[in-house]
Amino acid sequence: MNSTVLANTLRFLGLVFLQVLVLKRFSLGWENFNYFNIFLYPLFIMLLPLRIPHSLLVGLGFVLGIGIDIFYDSPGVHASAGVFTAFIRPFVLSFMEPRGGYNVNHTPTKARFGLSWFLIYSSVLMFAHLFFYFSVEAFTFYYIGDIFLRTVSSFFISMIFIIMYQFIFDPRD
Amino acid sequence: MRNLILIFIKYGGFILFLLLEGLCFYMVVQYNKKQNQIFFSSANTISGFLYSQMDEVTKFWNLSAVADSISRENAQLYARLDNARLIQSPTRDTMFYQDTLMMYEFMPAKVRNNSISSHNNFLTIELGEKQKVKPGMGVVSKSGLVGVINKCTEHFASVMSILNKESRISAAVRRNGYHGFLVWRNSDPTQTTLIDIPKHADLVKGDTIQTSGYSSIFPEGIMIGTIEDFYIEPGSNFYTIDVALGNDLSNIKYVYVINNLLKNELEELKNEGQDE
Repeated sequence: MNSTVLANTLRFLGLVFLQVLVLKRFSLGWENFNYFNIFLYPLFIMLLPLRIPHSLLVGLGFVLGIGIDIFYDSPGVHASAGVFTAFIRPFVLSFMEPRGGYNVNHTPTKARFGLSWFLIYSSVLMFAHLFFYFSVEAFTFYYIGDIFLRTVSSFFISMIFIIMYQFIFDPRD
Repeated sequence: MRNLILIFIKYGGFILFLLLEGLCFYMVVQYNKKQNQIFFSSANTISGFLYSQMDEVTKFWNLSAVADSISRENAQLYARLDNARLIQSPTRDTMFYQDTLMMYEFMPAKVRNNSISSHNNFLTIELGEKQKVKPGMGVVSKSGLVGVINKCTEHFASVMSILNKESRISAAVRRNGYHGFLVWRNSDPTQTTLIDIPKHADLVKGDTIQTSGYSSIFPEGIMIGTIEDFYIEPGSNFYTIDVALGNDLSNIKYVYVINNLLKNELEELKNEGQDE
């Protein structure tokens, strides 16, 4: 229990700092063409244990988003996407439930469920997260084409980083 | 209570989701410039639409009253036309007709906002710089004096009402022409005060007070009110006159902005006189 809390706390801090200190600069590297934003921090929500209560999950999504927002100088924008992603995680998980169901003590990781399972799971959440984020960021569906373009381009580059993370750290339960 | 807790355990994630999204939405709109502008402009589109619809409805309700006042006003205007005068005063016609020059221009305007209860009252009217309204122009209603324009924006103008402690308008007694200044002292929206009328003027209660025409703001002869009471303050050489306003400023809807077309000429003359 304690080791899970510790591991997730460390992952939280590590992902937030990696996001705001390194990936943020890289994302904003182009002038007038910031279609490639690398978002790694939703991984924190993806890798929380299965037994976490839904409300705590949503609350943590909010805390994570606010943490990112402080550095991105955009109060509420990342937070709303974080809350949304955390909210839909149980539904995505139940949709992808393996035969025989989940063991509540497990964590949805590559090590536990295999690479292809994790790839689909993280893709769905990442896409939802990015689409929600860019919608709130634009704040109007007038530019829906632009929102989609940003979502798709950021999705692919972010997924590369998500997969790299899985192979470098290989998180377990 | 137990049910409530059960509901929260079951739907806590959803409730928290709604609460936090609401909070995020608030923060997004409150602290992000771009989203704030988008939100409030779209909110304005909606509320603006509602207001204009409401306005249509209330306008319809007021229609008969408006039609009444317009017809009465029309009658007054017909009576003022030159052809109405032609028959009654042919001498005047022969003397002045050829030299008649348009001096005052009247522009109708709708009243947008009006106050009568504070010390310094202002009105807002739906006429602005776009219609060449400038600070210093006079404003009248169909039944009397209203005030003077003191500020203009592109589409609106603010009118310093005669019910304003800083207002000071040249006025005269119609019967004998003694003139003074109209000020507002009593905080009573039905009454103003006329000062600086010399002590030797003979006054009667009920005398009509009108604009003097000495200032370049208002033409002569616009009705202001009637004398309610007059007295000399101790140690003064002038009458203080309480004037009952002939004009109820609390319910005016339409006003006329007066543009003096010869104002520049008059001011020029005045300034030249002061220079020497």
